[in-house]
Amino acid sequence: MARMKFLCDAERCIECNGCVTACKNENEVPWGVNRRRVVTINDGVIGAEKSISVACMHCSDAPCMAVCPVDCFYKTADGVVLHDKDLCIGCGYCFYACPFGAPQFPQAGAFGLRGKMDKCTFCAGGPEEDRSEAEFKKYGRNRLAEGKLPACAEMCSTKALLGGDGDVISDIYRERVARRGNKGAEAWGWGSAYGQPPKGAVPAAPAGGKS
Amino acid sequence: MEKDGVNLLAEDGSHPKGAEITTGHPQFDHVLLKKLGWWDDLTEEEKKEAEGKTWANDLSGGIQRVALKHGCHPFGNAKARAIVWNFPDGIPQHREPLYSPRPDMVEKYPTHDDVKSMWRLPTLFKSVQQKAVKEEMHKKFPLILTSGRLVEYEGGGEETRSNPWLAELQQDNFVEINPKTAADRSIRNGEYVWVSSPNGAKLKVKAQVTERVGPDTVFIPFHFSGWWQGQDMLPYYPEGAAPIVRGEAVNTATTYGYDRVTMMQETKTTLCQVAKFQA
Repeated sequence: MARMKFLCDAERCIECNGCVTACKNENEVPWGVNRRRVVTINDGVIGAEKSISVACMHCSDAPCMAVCPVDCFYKTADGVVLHDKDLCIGCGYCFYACPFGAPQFPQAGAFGLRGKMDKCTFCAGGPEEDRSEAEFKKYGRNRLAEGKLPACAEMCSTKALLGGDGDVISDIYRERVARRGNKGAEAWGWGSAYGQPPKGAVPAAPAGGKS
Repeated sequence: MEKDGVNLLAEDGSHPKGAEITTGHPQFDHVLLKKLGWWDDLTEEEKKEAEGKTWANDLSGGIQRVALKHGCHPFGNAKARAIVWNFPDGIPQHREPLYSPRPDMVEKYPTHDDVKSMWRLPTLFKSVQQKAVKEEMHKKFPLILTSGRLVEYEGGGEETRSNPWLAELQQDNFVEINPKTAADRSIRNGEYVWVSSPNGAKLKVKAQVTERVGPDTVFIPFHFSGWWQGQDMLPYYPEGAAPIVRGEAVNTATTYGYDRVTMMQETKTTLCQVAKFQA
């Protein structure tokens, strides 16, 4: 089974927000809820400006799962971290635990009322029946069940954002880093999310030996 | 082939690598091929098609084939030069915009003379520019105002600002202003400011303090409309027709003047002043 991961290449991201728009459109996410966003640092400083697209990274040892008081999170066979909105009480603990700021809340009312948490599903829906109306309404499109990858990564115009089997995307990234002379070898967020060193700096695996 | 006594063909020795003709030459046609003695390189069928033709309209392709075989460009070998005799500047040259931050440059590169009838309209160029210099507009409006695009919106933005997926990403019109320029005016990031211009217009936009622009320039995107000098015109839209996001249209502040050849209005180069917002 593939282990699904996201990887954003800061050397390639051009801050076009195509991923954000693709996500909103595919999953019909309401105004104010941002499952994915593009963050830019050193804006306008020539040579130092870097952009990166951030969403739920579907961590190996997900902090949101660890802190959730109602245990609404679960992990699919593909390593995608999903949650059950019928169980969620909107306490917001996951938001504080998440290193990527992924969990989003649709409301901000009295007594800390937030509504059901919403976050990136890796376009894999939720606990409802695959591709059902109920699943779409709560969690958006289930593209994995349709044999497709997340809309954001598919739509990325510079292929900065890669989404899919972790082995495949780290192979792509490793080759890219080698080609551009080890520039941008650090795969942003991979240390926090997957607890492993950035793959770009690691020598290529021996041929035929890949699991 | 010459104009005003200047040879328009390439000089001797300037030719494609491997070309059999080492001087400048006009385009290949049936006459040139016969003159060069290359006519018989054509097949009998090609000759029938090529008679009276040039490389451009010989449908057999024979003239092109023979020219290329001899290492020559079918379209000729001439100097890379364009003189457009019916433009005011035969060869494009720099002219300062009507509202220039540099009077010394205006003196050196003045704009066109006024035109009595341009497409039947009397059009002022030089007198506007001279008036601006005389009234020292560059001191009252010391910043260059330029306008341009955002990735989220298209054109005037009426359609794209009506799309919630896009509108959410850019919810206000703004002016990009350098940190130094902003600090001189006590303007903080995200605050409303007034942008005023020599034509008397005032725009209420948010300040985006950023290094994207230099200290002498500010930038406003042109995809917004629906505000008029600080006032939201929402009540004037037909019911249900208003875009989700509205803002000041930058061309309220850009000035009279345009390129007289392309009739493109002068939206990229004018002057303005930015000040803290006061209602």
